[in-house]
Amino acid sequence: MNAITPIDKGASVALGAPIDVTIENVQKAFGDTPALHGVSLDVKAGELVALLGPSGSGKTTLLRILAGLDAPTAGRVLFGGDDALGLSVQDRNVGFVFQHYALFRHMTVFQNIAFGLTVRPRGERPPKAEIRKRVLHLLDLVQLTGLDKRYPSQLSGGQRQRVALARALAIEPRVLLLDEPFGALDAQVRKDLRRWLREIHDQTGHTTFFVTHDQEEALELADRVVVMSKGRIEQVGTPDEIYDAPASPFVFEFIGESSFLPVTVVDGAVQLDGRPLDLSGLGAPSGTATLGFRPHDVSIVEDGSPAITGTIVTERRHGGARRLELEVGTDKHRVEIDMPVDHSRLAGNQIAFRPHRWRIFPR
Amino acid sequence: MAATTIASVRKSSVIPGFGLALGVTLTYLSLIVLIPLAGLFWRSASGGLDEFIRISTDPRTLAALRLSFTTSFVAALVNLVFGLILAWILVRYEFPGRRLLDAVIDLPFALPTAVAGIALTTLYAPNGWIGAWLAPLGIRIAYSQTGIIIALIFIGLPFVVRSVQPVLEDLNREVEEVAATLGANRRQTVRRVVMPALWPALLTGFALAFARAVGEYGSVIFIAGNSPYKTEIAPLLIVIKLEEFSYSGATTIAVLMLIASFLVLLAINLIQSWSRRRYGDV
Repeated sequence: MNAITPIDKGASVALGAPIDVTIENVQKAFGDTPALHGVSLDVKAGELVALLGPSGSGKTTLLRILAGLDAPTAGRVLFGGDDALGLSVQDRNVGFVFQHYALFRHMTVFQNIAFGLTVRPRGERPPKAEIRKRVLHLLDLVQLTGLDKRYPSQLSGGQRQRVALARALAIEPRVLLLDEPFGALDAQVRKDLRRWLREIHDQTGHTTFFVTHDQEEALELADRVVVMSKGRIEQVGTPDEIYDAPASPFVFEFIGESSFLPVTVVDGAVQLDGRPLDLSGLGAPSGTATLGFRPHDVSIVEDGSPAITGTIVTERRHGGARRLELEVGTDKHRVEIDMPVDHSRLAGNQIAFRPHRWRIFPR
Repeated sequence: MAATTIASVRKSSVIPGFGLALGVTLTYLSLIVLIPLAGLFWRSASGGLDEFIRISTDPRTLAALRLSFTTSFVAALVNLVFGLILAWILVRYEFPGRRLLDAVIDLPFALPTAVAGIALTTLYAPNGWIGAWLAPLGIRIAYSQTGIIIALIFIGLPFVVRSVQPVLEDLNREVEEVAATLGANRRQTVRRVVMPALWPALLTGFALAFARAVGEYGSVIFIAGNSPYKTEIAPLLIVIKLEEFSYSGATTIAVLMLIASFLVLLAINLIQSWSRRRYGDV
């Protein structure tokens, strides 16, 4: 049983100092189906970490294990250096927010937020006035002042999710866990809530994990991003590291837009169909490799210097640029590149380009 | 006023055929329910007000009505508790024979009620399998009010189970999980989170079981013993009046039952619509 901290008279939200979370070789299998193959991760106190991956990557399973809603098959989870797996969900003191809010629909907003405090054993329960003070403070924090008497059915999706967050914060959790918190909301609300969540986090400073399959959300919101695929961690890093130095073709493809070409690395230089491209192999060993680049990281080559030549298949408008789909090389590999909208029309449908930023993944 | 409403509904609705659907519904309801009930009221009035008051204040009538409504209420209450437990087990647990048990629940619907009454009487009579064990203890089930209640529990069982089951299946597990992360133990979660979600369905099941029990005849008359003032239910009294060719007597008791049942069901319905308006759908 963890100690219950005395209620601070200023009705502040965060509880003491935030804690570190250590995940050591956590494995999980549902029957014969493995969901997590030995995941390890160190998260510093107060960090906002995104678990990013496609569905089935194990990110929600990991979150549920942290909360105590699922038990791992093997491995350890430490909260501030103490074993967390030995604690029941109730005693783990985590705030959990579900994608579909999971509000108690027969309770008012006030009762929802106060729930975690009112179920405490009599001796640890704050007095009524204190609960009221804290709930109203939380309502201010989530910008729902004055809606305490409403029922969840009378709120919009974004408001419901904010109630769910306030409810999770009310118990002064040691760790905050958000499972696709904005997944059910429409694009504009999502953007607002994203910024708002970041602000709340800066104010309250909880160690926070949030699950998302939206890379934009992860990159914008998180201090560090954990990219997961098929029950494994592919890469952990800051948004810059993840975007600029993806560790695998999977990460490269999953984060941002990408094009790939099969190439060969010969003596530290890249060749396509046996012709040199004047691109460095970036230290990759000789042999077959995959060249990856972003569609917007290319320059059109018109002076006949070494370049990738392709036949234009389709052409469409893409934001501030013109997006071309090309067939490249003898295997007619398809890649996408961006061309400035004001670029002069090309003679014929052949085009030559060279990426100015690229990655090489040995195969 | 009504005509303009109907016309405007017809004009603006994307679902066509409102007029036709309403017409069919009203005709059908009239033929099946309203006209027979109106006939009942008309027939009960045929004896005049004095006759109506005489029969409705007759101690035997009052005893029968009281018996019918109290036993039905108790039986529906028992079904409320055990029906909930049954539904819970069927929805929340996987065990061998679950599908079979699920099918067995509906048997009281299918069985002719007289068969049920005879079977229960055989079991609970002082010389029956169960009755023989209870008789030395001085507990008498058949030919007593307890017997009536048992028969009414039997025929009312499916209602609560079948009303609660789908709601329980739809109940979002995440709501219970979130309650646990907030520190609520299992008992608190059930009491404060699960039960409030089930109340409307439980009330529906209760109302159906109660209404069915009030009107039940076949199974009760075998087990009740049917002694006037003690174990004579109102539906039986109606049949007795009919056999005595006292049609106004029979219809008067029927009208009293109808009014009482209607009031009970109306009250339950009002409670439900109040809770629906309050909580809405999330």
